Amino acid sequence: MAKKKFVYFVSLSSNVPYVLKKALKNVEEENEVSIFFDLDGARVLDKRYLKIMERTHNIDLQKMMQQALDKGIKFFGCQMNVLIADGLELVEGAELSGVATFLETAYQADAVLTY
Amino acid sequence: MEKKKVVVMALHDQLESAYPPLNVAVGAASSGAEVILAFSRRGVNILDQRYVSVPSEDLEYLSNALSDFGVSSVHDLLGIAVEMGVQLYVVDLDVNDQVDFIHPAEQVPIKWLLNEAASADLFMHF
Repeated sequence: MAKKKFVYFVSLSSNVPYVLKKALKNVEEENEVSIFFDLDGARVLDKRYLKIMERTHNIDLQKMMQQALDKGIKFFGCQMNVLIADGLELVEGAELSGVATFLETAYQADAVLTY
Repeated sequence: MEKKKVVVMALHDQLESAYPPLNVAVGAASSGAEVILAFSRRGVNILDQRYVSVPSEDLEYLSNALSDFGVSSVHDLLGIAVEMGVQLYVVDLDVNDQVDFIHPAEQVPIKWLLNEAASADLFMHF
């Protein structure tokens, strides 16, 4: 089957575990996956938030995210994200991008999904 | 380069759901795309003159973060979208008589909108 390109746009951090599961399944099927994190969704790109999640909710998001990065899933944080004003400690492997990068990626995708 | 066509649909009116469709619409319009921004279900409330963007429960911090960051209000961003040529539509089934439109928006059937989405380079709903 031809390789497909998936783009996930995540604006709620509570949806991230579900999106990561779907994304990991997609890369296992040899598809390309990019995830754009915006607004509250971008919280997961902060190392401090991941530590809090692990402590308070027993969710090892950090592990899932590392697994996703290792498998080639691309993480993008909105360059203009409001959380950056607070000093986002960006996780390794993630990069910041603007709407132009998002559109460029989304135009080439087979599916763009929002969460 | 061929002009891109982007269809964005706003289905909800909470603060965190109102910004993404507007940001994508403005971003796409600024890159020269033809943009259709449609409102349905609760999203239509964003077009109301009296609309106030309120975040969902547990996301109250976003209001302060947006304000501290100096982000345009939802209605300011909507005004920018209109100035940039973004076309506004509402799905007629979801409009009630109480909506006092801040910008003119054409009422269309959902079938029309889905046909536009099918022929678009990018379709997103929030």
